Parts: sequence; structure tokens; C-alpha cells
Amino acid sequence: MRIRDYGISLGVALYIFLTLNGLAYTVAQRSLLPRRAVRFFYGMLAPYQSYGTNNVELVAEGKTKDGSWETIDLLPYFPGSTGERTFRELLLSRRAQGETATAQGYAGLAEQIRIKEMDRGRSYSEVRLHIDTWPMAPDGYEVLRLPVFTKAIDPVSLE
Amino acid sequence: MMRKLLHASRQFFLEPIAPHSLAVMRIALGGTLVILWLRYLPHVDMYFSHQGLALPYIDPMPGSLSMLLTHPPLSVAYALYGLLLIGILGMLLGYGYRAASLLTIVLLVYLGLLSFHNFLASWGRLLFFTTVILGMSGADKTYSLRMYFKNGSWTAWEKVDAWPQRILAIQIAMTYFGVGLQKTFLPDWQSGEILAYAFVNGWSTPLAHTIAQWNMPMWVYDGMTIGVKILHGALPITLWMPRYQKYAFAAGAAFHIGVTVVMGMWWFLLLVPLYAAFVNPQRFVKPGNSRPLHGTGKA
Repeated sequence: MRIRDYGISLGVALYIFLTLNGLAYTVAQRSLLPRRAVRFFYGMLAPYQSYGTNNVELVAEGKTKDGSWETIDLLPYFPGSTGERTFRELLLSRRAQGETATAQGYAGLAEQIRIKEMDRGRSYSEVRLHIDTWPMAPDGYEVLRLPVFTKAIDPVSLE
Repeated sequence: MMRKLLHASRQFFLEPIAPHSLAVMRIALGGTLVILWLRYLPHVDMYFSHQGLALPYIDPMPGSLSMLLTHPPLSVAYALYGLLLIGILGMLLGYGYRAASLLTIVLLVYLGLLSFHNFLASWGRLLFFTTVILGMSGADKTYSLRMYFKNGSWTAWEKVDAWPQRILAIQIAMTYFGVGLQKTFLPDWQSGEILAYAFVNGWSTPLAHTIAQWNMPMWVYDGMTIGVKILHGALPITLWMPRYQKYAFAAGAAFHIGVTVVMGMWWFLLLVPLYAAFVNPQRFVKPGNSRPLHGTGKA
């Protein structure tokens, strides 16, 4: 075999090793390599694993000069489909790093929203975030988003 | 025994093959990436520039390389986005393919760390992996501008190494296998409830909501869940078997069309043309002709 063929064989063997580690993690949540090393390959073997029965949406409120709280329209900041918007609003990659990273992420997000709103001529002394949650319904995404069914939960703990 | 195994694996991964399967995958991947990223054209300001919310994967620290993850001014964001589209088009058309693939990969990593890390799911990883492997494959050695300019015919072809096609085939089979395995054991996949809610969540299409209003009994969703698990178990085997391939392709296509209709996740449809990884490229060249291919030629 030529040196090039040895290189290719080595690369193929490494790929198979990583994939088998990803599969082992899929089956037993264990692998020979650290989770960080197999996460990408495990991620290619993973379906969506659980489901909720409620819709969720991030809500931002800004504190005005008279001390009242005003809802900020976040739609321009999270364009795209509802599904993609929800993914982004949940800060999934921060969430994977733990509660502290998630809390820091939302604190940073709130401050950025305050600055961006100021650039657009809407001045708030403070911005606070929560997540609205309401039951899913066959009739449509927003159908049950009514005060009686809607709960505000903490974006970090989701409780 | 060991020697035979080594010889077989060497042949499987290292034999020179016709590039047609890889070229089909390249065109499908390029087309998917074009559509996928053109969706972001109206939102370049919000996703990629300092006008949007900037939450990079690594917080930029002054004096370090992480400063590259500071969201750029709008003009720079448009320039980088334009470069990404040029890279993807180069892949699609098979022109300057290696450079185009490298450019695309670098920009996908950059945009991933900048903003898209919050939207990285299994399909995003598959898409990236396919881009990297195809980028090294010589998938531009037929059905490409490269061959048109070199030989005067876009169907002219040259042989390539087999390993990229084999790796992509293994990966697709493993994806179905791993996903099927998890769906078999995960607690939330033990009834049809997970699929019933898939018809009414944030991803659901208007058609899915309409279907949900038919109020079908739970055993229908239970049956669909069992069907999905059987499919995920059967595909990793039948995709490799020439005798059953057309049924496997049809079943896989039906599944991904279903996911598109219900959840709007059309990008998984890319997997259907990627089934070309399981097809002997000779079949693209001369259907019905079982004679081996020899060297460079025109189909």
C-alpha cells in the first residue's frame, strides 16, 4: 500500500471508532472517549427524544420611565419559522452547558435587547425576560394562548 | 481469515470507482444548501450583523481569536453571506470544487459559532459532515463545469476513491440505526402520543393541524410510531441490498415526505438523493451493463 492509502485507512478507522463510540453513548450513555469528543457523532444518531404538551415563547418586558413594564416585540429579533424561533429562544447550546451558563446567556440577551431597543428610540431602564407557556391545540398554535391557560415561567429553570 | 477481511475492506474503501453517485450527492447537497441559506437572505441583518442579538458560542475576549466572533457591521455580514453563497454555488456546479467546499466549510463553522449554535440539530450535523466528506471526494469529476471545461462535456468522468461514498453510506445507515435504536428504548417513544403532539407543536404545518382536527384514535398514532421504528430498523439493512433497494428508497422517501408535510422539516429530504451512496455508480453510467468500467472516459 502507498502512504496515501495508509492515511486514508487511518482516517476511515478513526471515523468508525468515533461513530461506534457515538453508538455506545446512544445505547448506554457511555463511551471510551469523553462526551465532548463524541458529541458531534452521537448527535448524528439522535432523534428528538422527548416531547412537551405546551408551547413556549420568550417574552421581554422593558421598564419605562414611569416604572411600568411594557412588552417588547421580539419577532424582529427572531425571524424565521416558529420552530426555529423556539430553538433559538431556549438558548439550547447554553442550556447544554448548565444552569449558570444559561442564566448568563439570558442576562446577556436582556441587556442586548435593552441596547437594541434604545437604538430604535425606545428607552428602558431595565429589561426582564420570562417564557410564556400554554397548551398545544389542534386548532392552531396560538389558539389557547389565553390568560386562563397561559403561565409565565423562568427561562433558566423552565419552572 | 484476517488477511481476507483486510483485503475485502481495502477493496471496499480504496478501490477506484466511477464518480456518478458522488456527483448526484454533490448536486443534491449544493441545491439543499442554496435553498436553506437563501431563506436567511431577508434576515442577514438580524442573524449575522451587529444589528441583531449577538450570542456567540464563545464570548469574545479582547486580545484573543475569539474576537472574530464579534458580530460584524452589516456590510461585512453581507459580504460574508455572499461568499458563502458563492462557495455553495461552486459546490453545486462543480467549479473550483475543493476551494468552494473549503470556503463553505469555514463559513459554516464561523456562522455556527457566531449565531447558529443555538439551532444545531442532528440534520445540521449531517449536513456539515456530508459537506466535509464530499469536499474531499472528487465529486466534481462528472456532471460538473469542471468536466465541461476540461473535456467539453459535463458527462465526461474520471475515477475517484471509493472511501467518501462508503463513509457517507455507512453514516446514513448508522443514523437510521441509531435513531431507530433510541426510539425503541426511549420512554417517550413507547406510545403514539409523541407523534400526536408532533401534529400540533411549533413545527407543525397548517396541514398537520388540519389532520389533528380529524381527531383520529390514539391507536392510529401508536401504529405510526411502530411503523417508524420498523422502518428505522429495516433501512440500515435494506439500503445495502440491491434486490430491495428500490423499496427501501421508496419507504425512506415516503417517511421524509411525511416529516416535511407534518413538521415542515423539508431539509431531511436531502437524505433521499444521498441514498445514491448505496448505489453502484456503474448503474448511473450504463444501465443494464454489467461490464466493469475502465479508466477515464465519457459516458
